[in-house]
Amino acid sequence: MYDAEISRSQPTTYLFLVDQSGSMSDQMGSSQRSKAQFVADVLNKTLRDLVVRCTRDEGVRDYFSVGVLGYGASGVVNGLGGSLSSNWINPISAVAEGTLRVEERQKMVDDGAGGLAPQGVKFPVWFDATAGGGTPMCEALAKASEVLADWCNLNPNSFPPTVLHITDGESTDGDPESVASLLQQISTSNGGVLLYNIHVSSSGGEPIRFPASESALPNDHAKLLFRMSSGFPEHIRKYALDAHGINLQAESKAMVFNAEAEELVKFLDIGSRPAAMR
Amino acid sequence: MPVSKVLKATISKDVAIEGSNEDSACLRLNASIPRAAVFDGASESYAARKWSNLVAEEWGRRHDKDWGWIDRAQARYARNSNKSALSWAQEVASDRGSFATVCYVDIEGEWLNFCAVGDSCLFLIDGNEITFSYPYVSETQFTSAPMAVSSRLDNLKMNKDNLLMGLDRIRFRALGTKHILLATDAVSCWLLADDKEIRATRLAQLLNCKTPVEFKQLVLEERANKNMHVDDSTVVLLRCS
Repeated sequence: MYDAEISRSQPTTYLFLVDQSGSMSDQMGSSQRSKAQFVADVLNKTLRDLVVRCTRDEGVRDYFSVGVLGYGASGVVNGLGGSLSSNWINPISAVAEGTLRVEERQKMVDDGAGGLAPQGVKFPVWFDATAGGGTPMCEALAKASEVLADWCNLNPNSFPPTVLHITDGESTDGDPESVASLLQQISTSNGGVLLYNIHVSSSGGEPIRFPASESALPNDHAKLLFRMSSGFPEHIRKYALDAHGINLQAESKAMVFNAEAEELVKFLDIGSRPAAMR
Repeated sequence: MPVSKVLKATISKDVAIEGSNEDSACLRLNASIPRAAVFDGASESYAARKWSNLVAEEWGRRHDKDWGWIDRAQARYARNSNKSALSWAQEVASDRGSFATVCYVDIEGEWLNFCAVGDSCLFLIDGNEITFSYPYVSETQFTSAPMAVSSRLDNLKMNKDNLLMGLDRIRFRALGTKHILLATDAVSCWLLADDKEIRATRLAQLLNCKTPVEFKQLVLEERANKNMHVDDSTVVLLRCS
């Protein structure tokens, strides 16, 4: 299980579930930016990395398809706009073409004289920050199930879909555990849907990363997220160790609680790491 | 003339997609020092096929002890890149560079001088036994991120360091070598099965391939049986006379 090679004839899919409730307008830990703004930046960077990973001199190869579901004041909405808004899931080549805009941002690079100098980099934007209303998490997970059941029917032998769920609070439309369990039961011949959950914090509490047991978690919400989260396939555990020095145990769940900026960046980098591409 | 070609064959990972093969091979058996090489363009890099072909072409043009072939390949790659025509994604991917593994052998009298950067391998074969393999000796050594030579001009020193580190030599006549084989990683990993019986069976199957068509059939069968990774697969097989 979870060992299918990813190819153009057998792609995989990444579905991002993004909490857009009112509390996402609060500041992200010690940052000056809101959680919604920070999540939007990290998500855009992740989408950019997925596109670049598939880009070759002849064009963009469709190794992946991608969707973004936002949930908040308007219920569950397609988080991708413009030409991508008519499909819940789009091939990565369409994502590459479907930016809302490409911004010029600055990054600091070695100036060759012992200092740092700003350098312009292209920063494509697909997803804008928004925050308002409640947290219809059950509705979002149910929509994800509907979308991914269709996808698995069309791609029965592919590496199964990965759902990366970013939230800052508790569901306001019921208990999401059973809905999450149904989502994880949707499968291809290579395994069930992988559900990764990250809880972003505004309080600055101590982050809990990839726990292997429910017993040490601080509250019911953290325990709920633990039960809703999948384990890690072998290639992800290897990547986490090689790239980030994170030693994931076989029992570790794909969940981070009280995440600040650094955890969110690592979480999306690890979670969106594909198995072998060819 | 100490060696002759038995087989030079390749098959793409995606047989349905024309032009998708990112491996290259080169034979110069009529040179003063006969030589052969295989190169495996890294599929996850930007222009793997173009880079692999350029490296093979420049390696094929080199003279006896010429180390300039990798410099010339990099220079040609840079000259052929027109950044103004690229999309934002191609610009970013292009900046990351293109990569290829290298495995070559020079046959100099009693000696084989060889070099490997990455997971393409050299094999010396006596009858139905692999007597020597380089740089790997077991299927467990193949990783998802092998070393490679890079197209990036700022990686010139790294490329040369890697090529120098990959150099070695052996007196091949002393091993009773009947065949010299170069293979890219999928075939190399398949051949280096830790089970000795499986290894011998697979070697016999490969040596039975007399034509590129027979090699393709073997690879397709082994892929279907899940014995061989689905990847571009290339071999050069030489007979020692």
